[in-house]
Amino acid sequence: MHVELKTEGGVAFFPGLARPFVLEVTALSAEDAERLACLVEECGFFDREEAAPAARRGADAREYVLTIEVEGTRRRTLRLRDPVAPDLELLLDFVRTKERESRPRR
Amino acid sequence: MNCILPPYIARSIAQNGSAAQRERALRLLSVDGTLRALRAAAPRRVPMVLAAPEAERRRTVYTAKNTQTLPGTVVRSEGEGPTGDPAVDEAYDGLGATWDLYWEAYARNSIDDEGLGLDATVHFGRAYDNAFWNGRQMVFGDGDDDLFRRFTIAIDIIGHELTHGVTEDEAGLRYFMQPGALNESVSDVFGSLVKQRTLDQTADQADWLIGAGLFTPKVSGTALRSMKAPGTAYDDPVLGKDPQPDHWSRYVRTLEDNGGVHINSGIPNKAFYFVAAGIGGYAWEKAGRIWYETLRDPEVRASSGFKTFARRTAANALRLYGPTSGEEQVVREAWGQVGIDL
Repeated sequence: MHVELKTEGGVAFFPGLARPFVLEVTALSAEDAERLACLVEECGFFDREEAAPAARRGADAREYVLTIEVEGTRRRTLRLRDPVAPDLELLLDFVRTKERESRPRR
Repeated sequence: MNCILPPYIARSIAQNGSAAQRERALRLLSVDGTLRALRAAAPRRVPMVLAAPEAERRRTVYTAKNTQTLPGTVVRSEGEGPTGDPAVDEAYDGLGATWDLYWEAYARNSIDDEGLGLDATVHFGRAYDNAFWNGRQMVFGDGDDDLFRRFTIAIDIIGHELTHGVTEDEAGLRYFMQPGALNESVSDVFGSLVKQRTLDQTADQADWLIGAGLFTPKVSGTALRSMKAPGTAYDDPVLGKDPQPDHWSRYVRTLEDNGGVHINSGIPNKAFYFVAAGIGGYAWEKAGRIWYETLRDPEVRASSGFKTFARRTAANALRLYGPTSGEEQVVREAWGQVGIDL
């Protein structure tokens, strides 16, 4: 499984955070890989409609372009906007946590 | 050309004065040919304004309890004392300081100028490193504690988000490309003015930073943006380098960030800084009023770009302060210094 997350919007634009984050499941521990698979399954990721962005009111909210691909079988891209639906929020939190963990240590 | 009472004072009296004072103020407004008088005469506002009691703050702070459910559970309502939760109390105080700036400096009664209650939700999401205006309320995350602390910590961010509501109600600047960068800049301007007024700072005492205190000590940077020196707020291995230009010649053409709304706002931000520094004293008094009147100016529309906005700031400076007082010249020179010649 291959996961790609691009985060857009927010109260400021940070070039370093605007780059897509790529997560290969092969790089995860067995426990994390299983957790990710469960989250993808539980939210019905591949059966969801690719959500259109909400009506353009407001400012500084985040949008997330989340793509998940299972080798050679399924691929889907969802466009999410804050506030994110609770079942998708768990999946998004997981990916964002992995993105934070991948940052250079200081 | 100039009426006896400045229009904003006449309007304040029309809202709050005795019956006789109101009648006189409304008479003045009725013969005043300014844009504000024309707006004040608009049927949408006047009956509601006259019927309204004394303007008052109506704040409600909610907690999302680290979910993304809005608005969440009420934790502090208007008039209630501190809760001891810094995010709740900072949001409450920041909403108050923003309401005060708009009411006391510009006689604006809340976001919609009709007394709308101010709602904010804190503890939004898990490790949520952002703040936003959703069209109805403000929303603040706790930060991820890696790069960002809680977003209520910076009072100018509270003023920034609330001002998005004001802009939506007034000029309605479209959130894309130049109008979007103006929308962002207006939020930075009034966010900074909320902070400066809270700290009782004159233009030369202010730091002109947006979001100072938000970064954790791990970040190489001082703030999200600098109005005085766009492009210098941070340079960090994870965040990258502050991409804001400080001059029209360095305008960034991009489709990211809604066409660079948080990037190119550096240009009008610096123009405002030049105006405030050039006029001197408290920036919310004259520079802020010129910008506020421009935000309400019917000639500034949803699609307006930098040049239109700049021209109207000069026109409003002239209308408010007259041809000999110097403010208009300061405004023209400020825009010229960022490459926008009027």
